[in-house]
Amino acid sequence: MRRISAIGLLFVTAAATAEAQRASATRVGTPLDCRACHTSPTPTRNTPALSACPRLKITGYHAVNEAPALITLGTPGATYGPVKFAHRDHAHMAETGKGCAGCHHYDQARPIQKCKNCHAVSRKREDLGKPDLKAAMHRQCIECHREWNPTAPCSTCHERPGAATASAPKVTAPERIVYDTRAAQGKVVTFFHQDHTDRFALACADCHQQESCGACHDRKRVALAQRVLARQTAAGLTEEQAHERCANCHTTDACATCHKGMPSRALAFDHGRRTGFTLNRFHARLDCKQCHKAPGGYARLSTDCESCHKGWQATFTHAHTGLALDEQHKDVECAGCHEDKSFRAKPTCASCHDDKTWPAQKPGTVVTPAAARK
Amino acid sequence: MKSTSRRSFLKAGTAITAVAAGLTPATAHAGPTNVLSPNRLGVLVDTTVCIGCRNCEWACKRAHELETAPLEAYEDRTPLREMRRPDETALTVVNQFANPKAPDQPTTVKVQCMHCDHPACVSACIVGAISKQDDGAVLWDTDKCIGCRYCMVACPFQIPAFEYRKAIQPRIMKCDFCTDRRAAGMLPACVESCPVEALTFGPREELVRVAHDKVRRAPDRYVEHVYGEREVGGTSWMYLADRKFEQLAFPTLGESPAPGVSESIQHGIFAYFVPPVSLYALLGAVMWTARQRHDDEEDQS
Repeated sequence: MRRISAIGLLFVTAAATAEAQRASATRVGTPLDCRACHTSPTPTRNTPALSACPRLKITGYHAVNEAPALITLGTPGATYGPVKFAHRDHAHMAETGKGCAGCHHYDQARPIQKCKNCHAVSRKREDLGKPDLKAAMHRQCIECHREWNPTAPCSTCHERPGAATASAPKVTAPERIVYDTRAAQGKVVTFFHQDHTDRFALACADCHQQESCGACHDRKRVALAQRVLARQTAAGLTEEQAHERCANCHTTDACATCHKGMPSRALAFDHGRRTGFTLNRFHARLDCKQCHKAPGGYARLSTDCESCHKGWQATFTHAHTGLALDEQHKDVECAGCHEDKSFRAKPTCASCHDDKTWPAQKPGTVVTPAAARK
Repeated sequence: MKSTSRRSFLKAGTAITAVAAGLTPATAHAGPTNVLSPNRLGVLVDTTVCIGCRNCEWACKRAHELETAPLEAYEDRTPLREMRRPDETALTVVNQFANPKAPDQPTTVKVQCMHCDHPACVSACIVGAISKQDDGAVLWDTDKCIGCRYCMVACPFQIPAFEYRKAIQPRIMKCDFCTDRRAAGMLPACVESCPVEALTFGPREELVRVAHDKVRRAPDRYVEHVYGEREVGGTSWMYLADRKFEQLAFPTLGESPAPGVSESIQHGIFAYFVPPVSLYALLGAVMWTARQRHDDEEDQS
């Protein structure tokens, strides 16, 4: 009898868990961990075990620079002192990894919780399902620190009189990476890493996402002082995976751009698709260097008009658009008719007139643009 | 458990012998099944979390007043290169195994007395110096031990060690589950010292639940086996791992308690005196036929 009820309970629990996962996925749009909202790992419909809703206190994501710079963790022990944790530096590095959520897990819904809200301070405790505070913190740090130094001593993080604090292997960006591809022609593809970062002034996180710490803090690469990475093969990758990283920017390029010798039609550089800033007919006439003035580079520029057109005074002749404004409308602010300064959208008369509408009534006379220039 | 002196043990022994002579084999069954408390304690060792810092070794030695180097000296990982067994100088040791998933980060496993639910050492001890406590611990009593070392032979995990180097009053040495520390309201020394809480201390039933919960939540991280949940009838210390346990030098043991085998042989031989009686009957028959043949030969001559 006991066995039957146990099996029944198992089914109910399993069904409830599945339902909770479905519900959270549809509710928020991202697969939240159940524990973000529920205090019990197996909530049911009748006893949902909801914690106080974190959404009521959502403050929104904050920039890495707003994160606290230095946090002192732990209390001084007999042998080892507390840890001065360079939080902001780690947050910057995390941008190429798992982001804030890499450490602040179960915190996808803001605000950031204190570790001890969930992890008990004492090791003698009721809930044995999650590690205590000391263990939780150690696990977070050790997972990465072991990766770049498997024998990392405690003094890597903890202050200890007489012991030097060890540092991570220096990050050395490779000058170029040689890929040994499966292509019949243009088999060897060389990626000029330094050229890309210098020319386009890219930050690591612009390309590198979801990396492990050891991917950059690679002690083997440092040991070999190797500036050119060994050949990397595409073995075991699908065609899509092999192209993934380059294809983020090289969206419209011909195969021969990378696979030299592969016959294919060269395509024009598409500024809009490549950078997200489509050149209008005025910008399209310009030489690249007229905007990208920094020597040797094509760094991303601000799309704010003022960033290039400094102190630009509007001496705009409306007649060039094919409509000469009349006396009443000549001195009206642009935004008076063009809401939100959106000049492509239909202008509105409603801010002044109740009985007029565009284009039935016009604030001037229609002219040909050529006539206006005379 | 009631503690007994050597004299009362001898008295009890005489009484048991007398009863056994009275052909009542049922009383000879000494399995500790009847004393297991549902609240007995245990430790769950997660070998996927252990970093091999050996703080537990240091803490254990300090708690048991054994000679030890300072904690900083344990950052040296060379002792991990060879496989070790707990002995009279170290009641727990950490062993290292190659990790195919991350060659730089070997898997490390702490070894100590498992504190079996049906301990073979308790069954093998002829003077009752080892006993299973209500709280799960398997303890050794210096006042009763006669130094026969049967417990060392009986243990399926080869844990009890003997102070061979001591001429006077050598002791059997093994993990005592920090009974003294726990009586003072503290955690076992190793559990307290573990920086990553690879060792979780608590009621055994709760730990079994937690262990299965961990496996269910991270099926990629663990094999679906909680070592010690059923091995030799269950142990107080249990383990989680990312690979088969025999690859981490755990003995492959059945689910039946180890004493069950030895006790059935020991007790079976003398059950109702059938085997000795049969043996003497057989010998008698051989003698009788030999005598008959001898007499026949004499008659012929």
